[in-house]
Amino acid sequence: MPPPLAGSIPTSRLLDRLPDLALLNHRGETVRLVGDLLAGRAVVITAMYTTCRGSCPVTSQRLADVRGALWPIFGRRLSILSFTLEPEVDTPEKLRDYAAAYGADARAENLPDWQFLTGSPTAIERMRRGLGLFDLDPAVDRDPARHAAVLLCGNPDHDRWSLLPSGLRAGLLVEGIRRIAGFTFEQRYGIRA
Amino acid sequence: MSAVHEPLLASRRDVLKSAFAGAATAALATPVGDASAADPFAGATVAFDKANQSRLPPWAFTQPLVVPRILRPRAIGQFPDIDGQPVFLPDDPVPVGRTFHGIAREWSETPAAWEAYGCNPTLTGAAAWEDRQKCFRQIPRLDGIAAHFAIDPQQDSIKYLGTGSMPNWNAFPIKCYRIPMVEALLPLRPDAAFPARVFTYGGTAPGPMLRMRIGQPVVVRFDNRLDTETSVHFHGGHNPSHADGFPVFYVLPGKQRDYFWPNIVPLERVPEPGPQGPYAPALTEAQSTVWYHDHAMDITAFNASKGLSGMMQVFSDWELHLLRTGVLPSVGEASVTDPDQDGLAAGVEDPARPGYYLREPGKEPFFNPFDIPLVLQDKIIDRNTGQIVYDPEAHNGYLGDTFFANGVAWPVARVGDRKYRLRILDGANARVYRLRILSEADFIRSQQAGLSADELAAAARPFLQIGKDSWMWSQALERTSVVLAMANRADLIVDFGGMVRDVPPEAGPQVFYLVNTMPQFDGRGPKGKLDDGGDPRVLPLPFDVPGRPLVELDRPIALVKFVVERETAEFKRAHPDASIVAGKRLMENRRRIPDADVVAVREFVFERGKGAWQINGRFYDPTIANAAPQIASTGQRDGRDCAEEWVLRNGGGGWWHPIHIHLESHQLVSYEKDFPADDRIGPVDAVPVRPPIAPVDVTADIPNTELVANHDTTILGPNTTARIRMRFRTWPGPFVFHCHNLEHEDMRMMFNFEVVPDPAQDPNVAPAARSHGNAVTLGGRDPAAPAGPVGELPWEQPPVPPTPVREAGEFLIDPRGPRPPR
Ligand SMILES: [Cu+2]
Repeated sequence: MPPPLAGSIPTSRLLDRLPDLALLNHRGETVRLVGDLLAGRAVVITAMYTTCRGSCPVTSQRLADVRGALWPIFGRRLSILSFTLEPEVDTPEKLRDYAAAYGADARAENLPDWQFLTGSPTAIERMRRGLGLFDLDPAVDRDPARHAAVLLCGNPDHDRWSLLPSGLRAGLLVEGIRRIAGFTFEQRYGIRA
Repeated sequence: MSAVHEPLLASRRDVLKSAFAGAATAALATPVGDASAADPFAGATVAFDKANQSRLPPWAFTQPLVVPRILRPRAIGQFPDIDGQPVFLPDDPVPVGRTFHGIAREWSETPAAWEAYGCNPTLTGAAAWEDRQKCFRQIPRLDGIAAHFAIDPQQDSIKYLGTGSMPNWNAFPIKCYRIPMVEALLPLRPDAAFPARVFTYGGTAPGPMLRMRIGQPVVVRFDNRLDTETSVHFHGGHNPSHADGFPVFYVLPGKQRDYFWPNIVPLERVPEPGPQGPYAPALTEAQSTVWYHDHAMDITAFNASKGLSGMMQVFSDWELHLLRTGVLPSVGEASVTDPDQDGLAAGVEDPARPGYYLREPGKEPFFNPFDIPLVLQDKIIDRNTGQIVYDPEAHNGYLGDTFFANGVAWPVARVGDRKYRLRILDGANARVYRLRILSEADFIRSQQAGLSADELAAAARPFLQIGKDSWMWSQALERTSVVLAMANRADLIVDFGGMVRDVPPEAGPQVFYLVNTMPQFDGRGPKGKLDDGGDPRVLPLPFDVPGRPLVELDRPIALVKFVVERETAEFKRAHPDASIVAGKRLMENRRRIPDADVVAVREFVFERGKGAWQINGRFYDPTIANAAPQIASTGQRDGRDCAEEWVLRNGGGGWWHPIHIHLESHQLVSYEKDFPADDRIGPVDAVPVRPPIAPVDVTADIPNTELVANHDTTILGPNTTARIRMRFRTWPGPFVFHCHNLEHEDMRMMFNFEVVPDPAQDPNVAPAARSHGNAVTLGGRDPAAPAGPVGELPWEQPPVPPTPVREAGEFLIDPRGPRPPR
C-alpha cells in the first residue's frame, strides 16, 4: 500500500459520519456500531428478519456457505453483521434461534464472527439509512418483504464499500468481499505484494 | 493571444493559490447538517439540500475555468525504438511491451482474424508491425490540399478522393506517455476548510488531456500509486481488449500497466472493392472527442467520484482540414500542427510544469483557445473537512450538491465575441443534464421568479451541435438545448459574437450562463419534484426533440458563467471567426448497416432485480461471456460484412439507464416508447409494466443526422426500447457493455461480450480458452497449466485469484427468472 498522506487533513469517511449507536446482538451483548462493529474491521453487512420467507434464507445460507472460505483470508478481522428489519419482533433470543439454523449461534474457532443485531427501532432505522440500505421507493422501503438481497461489503477504515448481490455464486462473492474489504494487498488480491 | 483569452490559459496552480486564499478568509468550518433522526446524515457534517440545488454559494463564478493541460509524451519512436526498450528511464526501468495485460499479442504479433485484411499471422515483432501498414490500408492525408476531397453541392456529399494518403497504422511514430495515478490534495470548494484528497491521473482532476492523431499509435503507462485497484477505460475508442479497461484487467496498487491505443480507423467492406481489396478504412468512424476513466470492478463509481477521469481529443486529417480552412473555430496553422509529431521537439515543454506543453501557438499540439473541453460533474463536498463524500444513498446513483466544470466548482470563463467550440462531457456518476444557454437577464429572472418550460425554451440561446460522443456529425444542427446522459459528449459551436451583436459595445462585457434545467433529485433519473418516487413523464423522450412536452427546473442550475468581451479589430483580423453555420455539411454520412449484414439479433433487458441491477435477469460475472459476436472480417457471407442487431430494452420501474457498449460505435435503428406505461407507473410505486401497453415508434422524432451518426452510449429512458446495429471489428477478446449510471454498473448491470475470430468458437464451452486476455495472448493456451485457470496468465501477477475451471463452468447460461431449486 502507498504510504498515507500527512495526517493533517481530516477524513470524511462513512465511518466518520455514522452515529455510534448502541445495538444488541444475538448473544444478548450490547455492542456499539462504530466502536465495536466497524472501526478497524472488515465487514459484510446485510439486512434480514427472522420470519422472512423471501430472500433472507437464501442470503443467510450464502453467507454460511462463504464463511469458511473467508476465515483463512481474514481470520478474526472480518465480521458478518446481519441486522433485523423488525426490531420490535426480533429479540436477541429469536435471533439466536435463527442464527442456530446457520451454525452461527455460538462463537466458532475457525470461522469469522457472525453477529445478528437488533436494537431500538430508532437505532435500527438510523443505522439502516446511514448505511444506505434503503429503497428510494417509499412503498418498497416500508415493506420488509421487498428488501434488497444485497451484501454491503466494506473496509470502514479505508472507506472502501461495495454492494454485492447475495445471489452471486460463492467464488465471485469471496473474490469481491476480499478485494473490497481487505486490509493488505495479499488479503485483497490473493497475491504477495 | 489577447488578454481576453488569458484566463482560459491560467494554470491549475494559479487557481489553487486563489482557492486557498479564499478558504483562508472563509469562516472556518461552520458545521452544517441537521441532526434529526430521519436524516441519514444525522450527526454528520454534510447536508445535501436537494430541493434547492439551483441555489448558488456566494463565491460562485469567482474561480476561473481551467482548461486541462496537454500531457507530453516521454518518448517518441518507431516500433524497434520502443519495443522492449526502457523508454521511461531514468525513473522507470521496465521496458515497453513487458507490462501489458497478459502478453498483448496485438502489440508484436498478428491475430489470426487479420488474415482477412491481408495480414500475415506468422510474422512477429517489427516485421508484423510493418506488415500492418499494408493490411490496415491508407487514409487520406490532407497537408492543406483540399483537392483530396470532392464536395458535391448537388448531392450534398463529401467524398474522399484518396490521392494523398498515409498508413492507417503507424502513419507517425509511436508516442509513449506515462501517467501516475496518485492521490493529490486539491481544494474543491473555497468555503471548505481543507483541500480534498482526490484520486487523480497525474495530480489533476480531471486528468491531463491527451491530444492524439489518427494513424499515430500511443502507449500510455499507468502507474497506480493509489490505495485502490484501477482499470483504465478509453471511452469511445476502438482499442485492443487489454487496453480497453476490462473490469478485472486491473492495475493493482503499486503496479503499472501499458495501455496500447493504436488510433486506427476500423475497416469495413466496401460495395465496390478497390485495388487494395474488399476492405477500406471507415473514415466516418474516426474519433474526435473521447475520454478516459476508471473501470475497476465493483468500485468504478467510487473511484470515478474521487476524481479518476480525463478528456482526450483525437484529430483525423479531415477534422484538421475543417480547422485549417476555418470552418471550425481555430487559430489557423497552429491549430493543425503538432511539434512532436515525428519526434520530441525542443523548447515546447513548460519549464514551470515539466511533462506538459507550453500553452502557446506552435508549442502545444493543435493549439486552440477557441476549443474548450468541459467536463461536467457533481459531487458532495463536506464543508468541514473539504473531502468528497460518497454518500450512502449512492447505490441508486450518486448525485452531488457542488457542480464542477473541469474540476472547478461554478467557474467563470472569459471569452471573446466569436464562435467557440465547446466539447462537453457528462462526466457525472448518475446525473442527466439538459443544457441551455441563458443571458444574464433571463437567468436572474429564472432565479427570482422561476421560468416555465415554454419561457425557458423561448429564452434559450441557440447553438449548433456538430457531434455526439466520439464522432462528428455529417452536418451542424441548430438547437436550443441538448440532453446529455452520463458519458455522452456533445460537440457544440456557441456563437458568443452573435449573442452580443445587438448589444452596443459601450454596454461592456455581456454575461451568459450554461445552465442545467433537468429536474433530478436521485439516481433514478429526472423527475418533477423532490418528493416524487420517479416520474417518467418528466422527460418522455431522452432526446432533444421539439414538440414533446417535458418538465424543466423553473430555477435552472447554473454551471458555467461566460463573460463575453469584445475583441479588438486587430485581433479579429489576425484570427478570423469560424465560418460554420447551421446546416453546414461537415462529413459524409456513415453508411447504414444493411439488413443483409445482420447475422444475429440479441435482446438485452436492463432492470432492477433483487435490490441490485441485472441484464436479462443475471448479474455481471467477469468469467463468462454473455455474447460471442463474430469478428467482422471472418463473417463474410456472400461477400458481405457481418453485423449484429441488439435490442436494448428498459425493464421499467422508472429508472434511466444509459447503455454504453465498448469497442464499437453503434447506429440507432429505431427507438420505441411505451407512453401509456408511463402513466401506469405511479409517482410512488415504480413497478415495471409488462407486457408493454402500446409502444410507439418515435424514431422519426430523432433528427436523421443524429440517428445515422455514431453513438457509444444510448440512453434508455423509462419504458423505451432502442434497436442498434454494430459490427465487431479488429480486436478479439473480452469487452463489456453496461449501464453508465456507474452505481448500476458496479451493482452488476454489466455483461461481457467476447469477440471471437472463429464463428464456431463458443467461449463458454471451454472457459479456460477465453477470458481475461488469454484469447488475445496465447490463443487460449496456457502451457504452464494445461487445464488452465481462468484469468490472466500468471506471467507477472495474476490480477485476481484464479477461478478453477470447474467453477467457471457452472451457471453459464441461466434461464431467465428464478433458478429452479437444486
Ligand atoms: Cu442504470
